[in-house]
Amino acid sequence: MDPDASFDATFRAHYWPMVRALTVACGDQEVAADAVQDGFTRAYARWRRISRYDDPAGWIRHVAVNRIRDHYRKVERGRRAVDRLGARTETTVAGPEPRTDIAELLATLSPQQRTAAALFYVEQCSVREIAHAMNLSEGAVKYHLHAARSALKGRARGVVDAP
Amino acid sequence: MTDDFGFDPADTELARRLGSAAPQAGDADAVLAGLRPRLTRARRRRQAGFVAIGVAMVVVLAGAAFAAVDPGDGSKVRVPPAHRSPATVDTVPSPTTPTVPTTTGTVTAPSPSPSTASGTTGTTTPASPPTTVDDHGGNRGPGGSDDSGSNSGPGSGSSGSGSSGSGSGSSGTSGKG
Repeated sequence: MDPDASFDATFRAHYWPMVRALTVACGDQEVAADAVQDGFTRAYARWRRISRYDDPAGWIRHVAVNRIRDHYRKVERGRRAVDRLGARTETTVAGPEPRTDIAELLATLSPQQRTAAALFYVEQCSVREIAHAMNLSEGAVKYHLHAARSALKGRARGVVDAP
Repeated sequence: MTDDFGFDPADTELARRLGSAAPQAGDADAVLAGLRPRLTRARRRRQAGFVAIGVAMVVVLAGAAFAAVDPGDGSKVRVPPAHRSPATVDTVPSPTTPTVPTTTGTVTAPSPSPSTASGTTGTTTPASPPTTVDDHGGNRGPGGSDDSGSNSGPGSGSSGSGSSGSGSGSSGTSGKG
């Protein structure tokens, strides 16, 4: 198969699922889309090698998750620097925008729980794929998923259980 | 899929609600078309990086090879051994010796200055210089104004040193031959 054609097929199959899942994870569609596009851009530059991987999309997802992590790490550093300067600012970091009831619940989770839950429930990735994307062991991913599910079910019994 | 973690009905509902919180999927082809220039630039940049690395490695290896190779005899600079050559003797101003002693018999102070001996030829220079100072062959003969050392005069060489070492005025003059 033509490398460019296989790249295009991978892009069409995985771009929007990744963007949707990472939007839920980080709460900002622009940041999520930028991270996914950066992952695809890096993959395209070295597609001859990555296309031979078992799961090329997993490599791209891994890059995108790292990009989002770096983005919010940078934002957090900036916020701390502003706090150290004593300036009062109303800008807050990250976190999902509480647009919906479920988004408000997601905002109560830790970033890793949020990312694992988003990849699991929205993109419907397997535990192994999530582990690869988050650079964690499968046991750690199961731990985060279990914690996220317990928190969501416990705090939003009415939300989740309600039909 | 996600069946390796377990997926009960509550999970299904949770997935549905999380999915509703996510943005709707758009046209991937349009996004890809807009992303195409960026993709091309990224690939070119990476290829240029590889080319630059290759060129740098070739330059480094060539430099190392050039430095390691023996340049051979032809490229060495030969320095002749230091010895006196006749050509350098000619450039040294030869001590002027009075050919004819012009003393009129009234010379009383036989202390000619070497610096003035050459300029006052025949006026105060005695025919035979004083031999009280042993120069161990390093001095010149009469009129030896050359004070450049023991190696410039013709008499101070291999032949001159011996002859002038005798201290005789005649030998000094003969030394400069």
